[in-house]
Amino acid sequence: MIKVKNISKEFDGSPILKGISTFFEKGKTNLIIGQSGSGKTVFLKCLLGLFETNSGQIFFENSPINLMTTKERTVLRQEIGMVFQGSALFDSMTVEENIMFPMQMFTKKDDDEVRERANQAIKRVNLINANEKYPDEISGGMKKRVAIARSIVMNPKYLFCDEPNSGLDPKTAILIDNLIQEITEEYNITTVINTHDMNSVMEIGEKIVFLLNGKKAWEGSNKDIFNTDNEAVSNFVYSSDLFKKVRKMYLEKK
Amino acid sequence: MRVISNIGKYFLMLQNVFGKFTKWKVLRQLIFKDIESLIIGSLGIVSFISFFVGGVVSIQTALNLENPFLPKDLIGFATRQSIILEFAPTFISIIMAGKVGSYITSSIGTMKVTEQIDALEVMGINTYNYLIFPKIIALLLYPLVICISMFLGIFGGYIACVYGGFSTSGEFIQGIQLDFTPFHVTYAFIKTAFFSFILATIPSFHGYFMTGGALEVGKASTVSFVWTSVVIILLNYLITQLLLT
Repeated sequence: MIKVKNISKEFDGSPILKGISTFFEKGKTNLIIGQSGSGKTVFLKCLLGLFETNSGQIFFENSPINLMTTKERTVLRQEIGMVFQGSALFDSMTVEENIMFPMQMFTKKDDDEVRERANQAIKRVNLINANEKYPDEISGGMKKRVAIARSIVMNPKYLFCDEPNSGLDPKTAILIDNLIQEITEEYNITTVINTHDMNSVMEIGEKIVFLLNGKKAWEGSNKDIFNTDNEAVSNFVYSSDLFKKVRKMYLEKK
Repeated sequence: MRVISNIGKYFLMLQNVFGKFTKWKVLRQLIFKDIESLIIGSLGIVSFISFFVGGVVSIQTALNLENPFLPKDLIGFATRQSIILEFAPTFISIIMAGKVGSYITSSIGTMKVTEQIDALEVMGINTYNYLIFPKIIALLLYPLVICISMFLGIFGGYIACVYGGFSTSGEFIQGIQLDFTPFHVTYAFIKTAFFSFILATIPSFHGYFMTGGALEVGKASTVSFVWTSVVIILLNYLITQLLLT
């Protein structure tokens, strides 16, 4: 579980995050949603420790990240898997080498064991015949799968995803969403996903935190979002006519 | 003010480069990769430039020796002095600032804009050590490149001079041996050692701390070339003043 207590972050005097408090549960897909510029990516990078917060605390299983020593942080980071928006695969390495990389860096396993574990991860994300290919030789959806495989290969306790289905067609986006949800349940990890994809919200949003201008404006689940009377979140989630109709039908049926 | 802040950032970066070390097994592979791309990949252009510039230096010297009382062995002497003292260590380093420096800045800069450096950070890797240290080690072989440049520069001068009919082979070789001071070679290699460190670290700094997108990677490469050249020229002056005067 990750707990966030009243964190704030500013850049050059302008506040980006304003006193956010929330928690992300283990074994659930937790979503951070909000408009572009609402502070989602900064929030995620604060959780990852890539940005230092100006105030407040972030707890990973009751250990505050800002009070951790460099060594403790290094250990924590080895328990974190991250899927970046652009996948962030290493260009100079093949798919298999990309997935083997974290194990080569942090384990004492021999090459055969590392390769075997990497291939298990490759199989888990349903990547076929891509081991020897370089990132620029595979599609966007495959890149995301490689990034997910790389992030789970060390059996992380926490999985962070920054817009995992941006730039993907709707079918592939749903496949990636489902894959992340399956992995979350299977590995019993705390997953935090940064997204503004409404399909993801409806499909896998077991816990949703809505940010507006750097503040937490609403939180709940994908079921709560149909009944919410919070105008800001309704305007954001049901901005398209299709979703407005879906909500209307759902409420009428109820 | 920004320049002072960047100088501070540069030295902090150096401190981090020698901070927590990457696993030796991984580091070794990176060092070999960098030797291949930075050193072996530069041999062709360095050899080509050195040979022909050596030839031009000897022709220019020969054409300026109009007085019949001046001995022809001065051509070999002037070629040797120009190549060993300045051309090979300093001007090849400026060329390398363009070739190797741009490569380092753009490769690290691209990793920065595509979040590959963030990915390494999230894994708990000391990215300064992982990205920059192998380049510093690979460029320890840079004096070897300069050695080849010195040899080919003088050889180019010999070919141009002898086959251009400016002097005999014997006169040129006599000129090469004339008043030879071994310390000049030591001086050239001391300079080269400093330049190799500059060639590895300044372009890395510009790549690592760049912000923006693809366009900014190009801009960072240009700025990196300018600053690497400026520092090499200033350092060249300082080392010459300290060692030769």
